[in-house]
Amino acid sequence: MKNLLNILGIIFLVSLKLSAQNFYDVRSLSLGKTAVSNSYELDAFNTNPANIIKQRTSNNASVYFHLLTNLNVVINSEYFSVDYYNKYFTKNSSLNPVVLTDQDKADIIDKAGNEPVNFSGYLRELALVIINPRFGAIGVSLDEKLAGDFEVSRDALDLGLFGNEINRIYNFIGTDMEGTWVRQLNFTYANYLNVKRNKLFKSLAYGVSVKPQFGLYYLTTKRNNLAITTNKNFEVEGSGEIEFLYSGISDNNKIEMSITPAGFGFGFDAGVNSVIRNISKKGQLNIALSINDIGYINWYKNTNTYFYNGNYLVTDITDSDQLDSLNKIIKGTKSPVPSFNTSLPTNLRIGLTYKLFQKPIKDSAKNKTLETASFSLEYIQGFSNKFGSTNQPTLGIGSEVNLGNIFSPRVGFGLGGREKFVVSLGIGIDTGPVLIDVGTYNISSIFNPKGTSKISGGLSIKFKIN
Amino acid sequence: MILFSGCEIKEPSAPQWDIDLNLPFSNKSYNIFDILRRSGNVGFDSSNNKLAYLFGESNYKRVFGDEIKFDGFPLTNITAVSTVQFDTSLKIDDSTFIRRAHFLNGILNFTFFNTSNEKFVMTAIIKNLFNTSNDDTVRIQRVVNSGQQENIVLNLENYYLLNSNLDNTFKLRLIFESLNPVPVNFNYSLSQYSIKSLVGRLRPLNTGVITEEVIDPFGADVPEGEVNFATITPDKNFIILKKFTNLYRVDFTRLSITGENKSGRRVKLKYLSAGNQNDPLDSVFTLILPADKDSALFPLNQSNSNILEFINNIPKKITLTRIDFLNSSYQEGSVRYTDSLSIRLLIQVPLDVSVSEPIVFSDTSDAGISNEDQRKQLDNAKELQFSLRAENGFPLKAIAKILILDSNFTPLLAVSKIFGNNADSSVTVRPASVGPNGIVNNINTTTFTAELDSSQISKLKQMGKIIYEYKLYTDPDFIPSPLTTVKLTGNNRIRMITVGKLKYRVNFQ
Repeated sequence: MKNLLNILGIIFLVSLKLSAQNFYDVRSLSLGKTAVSNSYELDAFNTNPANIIKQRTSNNASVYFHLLTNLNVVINSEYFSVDYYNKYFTKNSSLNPVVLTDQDKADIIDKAGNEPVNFSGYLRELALVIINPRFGAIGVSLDEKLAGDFEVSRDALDLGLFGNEINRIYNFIGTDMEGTWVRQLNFTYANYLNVKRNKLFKSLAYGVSVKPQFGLYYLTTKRNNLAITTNKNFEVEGSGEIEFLYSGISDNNKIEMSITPAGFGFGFDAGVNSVIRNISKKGQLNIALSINDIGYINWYKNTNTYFYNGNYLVTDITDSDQLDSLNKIIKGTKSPVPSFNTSLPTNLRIGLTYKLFQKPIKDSAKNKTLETASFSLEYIQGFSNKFGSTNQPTLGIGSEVNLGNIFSPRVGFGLGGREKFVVSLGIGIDTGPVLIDVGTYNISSIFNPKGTSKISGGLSIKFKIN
Repeated sequence: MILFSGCEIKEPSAPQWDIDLNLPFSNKSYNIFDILRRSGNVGFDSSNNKLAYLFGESNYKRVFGDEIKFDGFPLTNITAVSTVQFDTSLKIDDSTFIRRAHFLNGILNFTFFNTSNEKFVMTAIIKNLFNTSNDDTVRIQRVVNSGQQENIVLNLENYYLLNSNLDNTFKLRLIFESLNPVPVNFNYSLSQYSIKSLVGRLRPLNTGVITEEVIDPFGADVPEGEVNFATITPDKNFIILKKFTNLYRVDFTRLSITGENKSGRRVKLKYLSAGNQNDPLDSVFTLILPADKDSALFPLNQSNSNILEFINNIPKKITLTRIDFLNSSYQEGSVRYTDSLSIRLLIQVPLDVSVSEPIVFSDTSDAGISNEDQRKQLDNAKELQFSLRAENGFPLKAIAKILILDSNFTPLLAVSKIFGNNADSSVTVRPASVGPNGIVNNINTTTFTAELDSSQISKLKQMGKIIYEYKLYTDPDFIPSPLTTVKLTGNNRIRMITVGKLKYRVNFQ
């Protein structure tokens, strides 16, 4: 039982700690997840490597860096809100644990049964981009990426909250948990192609990223067809089985820190961002395309399956043999397995951004005119439903206004994906050497923080050296 | 750090809640084979409504070993004035005539005396005695000096006797060689000896009184109480005599078979005095196994024996006493010391019974929660709605007890007392109803309910044993007239199912 709880604990902690596989910088979150055509320097990692060479037109720095100052969290579900958490998972006014009433239990089953919860988090420990007009831009970052999915079947919740009814089958199919924690190094190079004679493109930037992946923990539900029945003689019969696949730096299912990974692999990003000629005197249209996270991780350390054989019959709980057998089933069977590969959650982005400037812009790639506003549209297609990613397409719309070249309020909309529809909001503050971004992908995280079940927020502090 | 205006995230604390667990606490059922399970002596007749029967077997087997004994002959002195050659026959038994015999033991002893003034050389030849190692005729040569004596000892274990015709002697020739004839004095003796094998005509041999016991002929779990069987199974009860070689005729004389029950009550089996029809019944009788048969079968039934009285005593011990006579017909044959005889008593009786004093049966099963964490979790149990469903498929009334004890057999909870509220902690379950043929036609189900509070539930933490105890007996009120007995079948089963709805507080603190 403890092992099972440990596994549950790991996935819960992994899920809660941070970071998504599809990572967005804070500015992108505020702009409806648009990034492929409108991101700059450090913010461009993982979304479009071509953009690390790009800066806001008012900036002309040669170095940008982060140091533990980029963090964001996304929790997405239909029910898991702060209100939900506070109501059931905190102490009451008498500082005693909440005692669930039958109505509470029914509400929990109704809301949480068969409803997935996705957690993702991202901590950038350090990042550096050096921009040089002659050789382009090079960037490096070290990131912690955590993601998880969790779902409990309605029957499983019912069994856990009300107990077993006679002559009822409790079906655990659908109860599922997955989680991963990966440390990533990102080496990115970007530059401009020479397109002076091209009639369509005013400029064309390209970029590629090579991202060594250091897997720390991985857990997935390989199969689950468990069902439990109680017959008229109160005999409890289980059928089916649950099997988890695990790899991690610790063999005892406890979270430990180590510099030696449990898995290793590579990811690759590639992208382009072009400026289209002759759109407007005070405007500029960027069209961009990127494909990210093509790659894999080979997990080779502490690779085990945890098998829980649910085929049992309890006819007599005073029978120590039956109880011992049941205990063995609950403890499960840990079996070493060969190393295995997991794919990174590849995603494709295509988008455009229209920027408005204070003055008519020169016909040059190195436009120094102040940018007053931008409008972005982006289509994101994921190819995986795991670890914070989704293969449901997302359409992002975002807009940013620059006030005095210091404050940049942002607003965005997200359509599709797991969240269906969200309004995002944020602000950027450019103090000169320090750039601060705060934002959320879901506006209700700000205006109705207790009620929202799509929690999102991030903070980024960047430094620049001219 | 991220700030959410107006959003307070409190310290996490797992909630608590109550669940109702419908649990099978115990489910024990027993049929007649379980009740008499240690006996292994219960069967059922699939062709007759699975009518159960009890069968018993007592097997008495003896191996002769050194019990085929002969007396030998005493010390005999021979004196001759003078001789050079001396022939004589030494009789080894008056009435046993041998073609070939090997000896298990026995000493043939000679002593030669020389009272003359000169030595002589003595050569002894036993013409019909041969060395087992080389088949040579026994030949012994000694020099006996003047005034000396010479002793010769033959251990018969190393020799065998071989005659071309039936004979009962050693053929001895003595040859004396000396310068002058000498006076001869010698003696000889043959100790008591046993035969390893013998071919010839054995004298009728009394092998002595044999007394043997067989414990638990019906198994260790012979039902206690007063059980009356209505009948025995026809053609299934026998006394079987058997010999394990082509042996002489054997007379099993002065046979006495006594059954003793758990209470010490004895019943002697009476049978035809000489094993023949129309013989009077006697508790001491004789049975004969002819020389030309390996075995003989003597059927037991209610007309040629008191077998029903014998079996109704349900013997826990059967003692057999007898004297075996070999070759009372005094015919030629053979015997070896490894030869054996056996008497088997086979008894089978259908369980068509009335039980006036209860058959007591108890079963102790290991129970308990070995895991310390799980025991602690019982503290979170608030109440238990407990019910006992007794399904009695026996045509016997049952007084049942279910007792929960710790592993040192200290009583913790008398579950049946909670249900029945009887002073003796029992519940009474009516018998299943029987049809005109005495066989169960409808199971009786009785349900008892009770509620255990948390303190009673807490006692289950120390649970180590559960004792199920049953007293089963026939109740005349439930036997349809004119029957006086009921039939137990292999299908009869008594089941005790205890289940409960446990209200449990889930608490992660």
